[in-house]
Amino acid sequence: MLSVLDMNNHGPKAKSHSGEAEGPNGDWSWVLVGALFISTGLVFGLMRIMGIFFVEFVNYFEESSQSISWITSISLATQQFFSPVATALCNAYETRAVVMTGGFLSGLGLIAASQATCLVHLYLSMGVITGLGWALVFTPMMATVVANISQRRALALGLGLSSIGIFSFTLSPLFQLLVEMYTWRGALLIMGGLSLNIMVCGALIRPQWCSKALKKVDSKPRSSCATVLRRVSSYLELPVLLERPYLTYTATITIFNAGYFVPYVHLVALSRMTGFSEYQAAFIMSATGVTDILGRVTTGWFSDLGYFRTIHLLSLWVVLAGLFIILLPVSSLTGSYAALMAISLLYGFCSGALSSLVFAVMPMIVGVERVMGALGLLQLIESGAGLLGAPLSGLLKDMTGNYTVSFIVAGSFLIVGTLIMTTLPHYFSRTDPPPPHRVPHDVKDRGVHLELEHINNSPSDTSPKGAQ
Amino acid sequence: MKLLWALSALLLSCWRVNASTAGFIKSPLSRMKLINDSAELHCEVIGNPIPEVQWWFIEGEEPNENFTQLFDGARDDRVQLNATYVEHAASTIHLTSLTLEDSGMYECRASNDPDRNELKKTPKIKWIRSQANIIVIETPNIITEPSEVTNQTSAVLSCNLTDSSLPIKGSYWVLNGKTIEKSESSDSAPFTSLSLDKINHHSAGKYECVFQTEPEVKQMIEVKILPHVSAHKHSEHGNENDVVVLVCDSHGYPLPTDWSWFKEENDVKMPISNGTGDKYEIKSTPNKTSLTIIDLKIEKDAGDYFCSGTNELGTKTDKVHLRVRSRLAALWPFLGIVAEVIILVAIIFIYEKRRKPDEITDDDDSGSAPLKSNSTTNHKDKNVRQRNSN
Repeated sequence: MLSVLDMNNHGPKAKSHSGEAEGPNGDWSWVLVGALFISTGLVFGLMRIMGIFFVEFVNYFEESSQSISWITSISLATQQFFSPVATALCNAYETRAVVMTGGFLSGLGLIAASQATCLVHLYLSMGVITGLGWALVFTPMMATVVANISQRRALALGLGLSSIGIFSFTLSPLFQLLVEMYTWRGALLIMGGLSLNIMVCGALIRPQWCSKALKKVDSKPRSSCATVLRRVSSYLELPVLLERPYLTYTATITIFNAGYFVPYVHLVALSRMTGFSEYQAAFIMSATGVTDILGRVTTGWFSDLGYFRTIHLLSLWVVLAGLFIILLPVSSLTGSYAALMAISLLYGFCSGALSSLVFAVMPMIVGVERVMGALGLLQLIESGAGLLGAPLSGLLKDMTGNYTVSFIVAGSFLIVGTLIMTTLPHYFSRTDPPPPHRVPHDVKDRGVHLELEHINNSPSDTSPKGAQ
Repeated sequence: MKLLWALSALLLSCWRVNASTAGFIKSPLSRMKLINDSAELHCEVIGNPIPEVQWWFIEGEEPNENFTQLFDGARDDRVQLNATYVEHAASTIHLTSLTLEDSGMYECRASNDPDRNELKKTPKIKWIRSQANIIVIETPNIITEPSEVTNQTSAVLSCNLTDSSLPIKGSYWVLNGKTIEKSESSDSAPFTSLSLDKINHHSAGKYECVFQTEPEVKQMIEVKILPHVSAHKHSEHGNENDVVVLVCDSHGYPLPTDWSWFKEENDVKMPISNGTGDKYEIKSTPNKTSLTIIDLKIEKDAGDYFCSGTNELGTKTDKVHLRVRSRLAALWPFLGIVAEVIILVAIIFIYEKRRKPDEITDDDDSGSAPLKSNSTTNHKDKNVRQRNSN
């Protein structure tokens, strides 16, 4: 009884809640974007910087660089693998608590790594614990931003994700200096301290922003096996796996991942093979990183203007990125540094553009309230392709002797993925279809229904400017 | 009768159709070699059954020829024979450390006749033969000017090929085994020169002028300089109680034969010897030396270290500055960052708690809002669940 009354009270509150989270008077939503910026930078930016420690580890532990490079692989794999767990925990508990725990764990892992005495210590601390911490941070933060900011979603995401490039660019020389001054142990300790700042970002998440928590008016205090399983599966958003649009989209993103990382891994080697010096090759990578940042922010801003549907823009950027990947070895064949640099810059722009839009499209496919779990599952599934993509291209290079085939295959993965994406329902319509939302199991009250509908149908990515 | 003869001839030829006489598929080739060089002759024969191959040395002119058979290990083990008899016969004879007496005609003999080794029968009839000449000549004299370069900043190397009637097709120069680009010339003059404008650790080494004759002749000129000693890193950092390795390399020619390390104390260079109290360990190879210092102490071990490399011309030294960081050095920035995190989180929670009373009516934390009497938002405990289950 009490619950019904409270539900009815929700109506107007929901209005103000959603009005507060979005739109020009949503100052707090920009704070949220700032939190995403810092936390994403501290997750993936730090992951990219790990390379600075490689030489130190190889010398100190006297291990091969292959065993050392497992550290980054383990941390990345852990982050992606535990994403669904993280999002499930968010659905079950508070996003704020989960993100703060994640920040704490990632800092803890790095602090433990600074005291490491053997390689296995590093695998466990810097790899597993930090990776787990990152899992609890990244996807929940992304999902929170996607779910709660609907008016300028793509721009918010673009700004938030641009930190990866900016952090790795600026922190790289800083950490080189730290390693010089404090040796790697000291630098790792400081890195752990910096990671603890993620807890600050987590603290900024308002408790009421996790929409699933709203539904959690548990009327069943006793837990039977079936109920527990049902709840767990609802936290993990497992039912979403059975929906065709989600499956199509996931398949698309997985295929993207197989080809998307290839240039980052092999571009330097390709430039060296074409005959350029180490510095020229490194410069190409840095320049690509800069256009990556530009791409993320620009596409976010442009997509929010609403001239085109986000999903069409995503397809455009993916096709262009695939095209430029294929052109990369072609331009290297001409031997001209300018050509290779130009294509790399264009590739960087497109790849940055597509990576922020990938998340922005998700609410349209599964609906805002399921974004959390959906993103978690997506991260898990796409991780497999990411793990396979780079070794596959390496294998192709070993077989054929040069990078042409591997790059062409990587580019074609992107283009094939786009073709699969066109099979999404309502792909070719000019406006976004109404996003799906499912009837929650435990609360079958119309009040909640109305409130959820309101969140979903509040100004979505197509602004009034789009053709109606 | 004639028919019988014809028939028996046919039968005989049929009987022998499976057998085929030996024939050369590869014959040995004549060679001209220098003293102390080595030569190789190769010969391959087919036949059914597989023929046997022998090598013979022929001295003198007809009719006073002297035949000597060569076996593996002959001539004081300077002769090595290598033969395989798989599908066809292949045999190679190696002659090492050639002398003038090794000049002469070498013959590869093969036969698959079952009677070939019968002493009563003349060998010449049953064996096929193929001959090759090996001519050993004295190494022509190459006059080098200068014979050696020591400690000069520039030089002109020249070689003059005297007393040789061999035709010269051209010449080139080699440094440490690698041909120098642009030093090749197709001039058939017995004279070649190379000018070195700047002699440094890149251009020092063993130079050889090579004349393209048959066989090639060459002479070496050594260009020597003082060792070029450089430290891997001029400023090294070590952690207290930890281990540090200081490394110096050398390039150039000749490489140092002796390395030594010194530590500067009160403007005096104190030598460091290997194993002084288990603290120092020096490992040296001609092109690299490393000093390992264990259990670093801030006051005692920080400072300047010198590595010296000595070769036949002299000694060169380089300096490495070692700084020992206290183990806790990084702790202070770390504690600073942790303090900042705690302060920011506290500020955020306090700010929220202060806004809470304004928002309590707006708080849409569903049914449990009124039940959430003792709100736990002002705790810094990160793992708190803000929902009260009912």
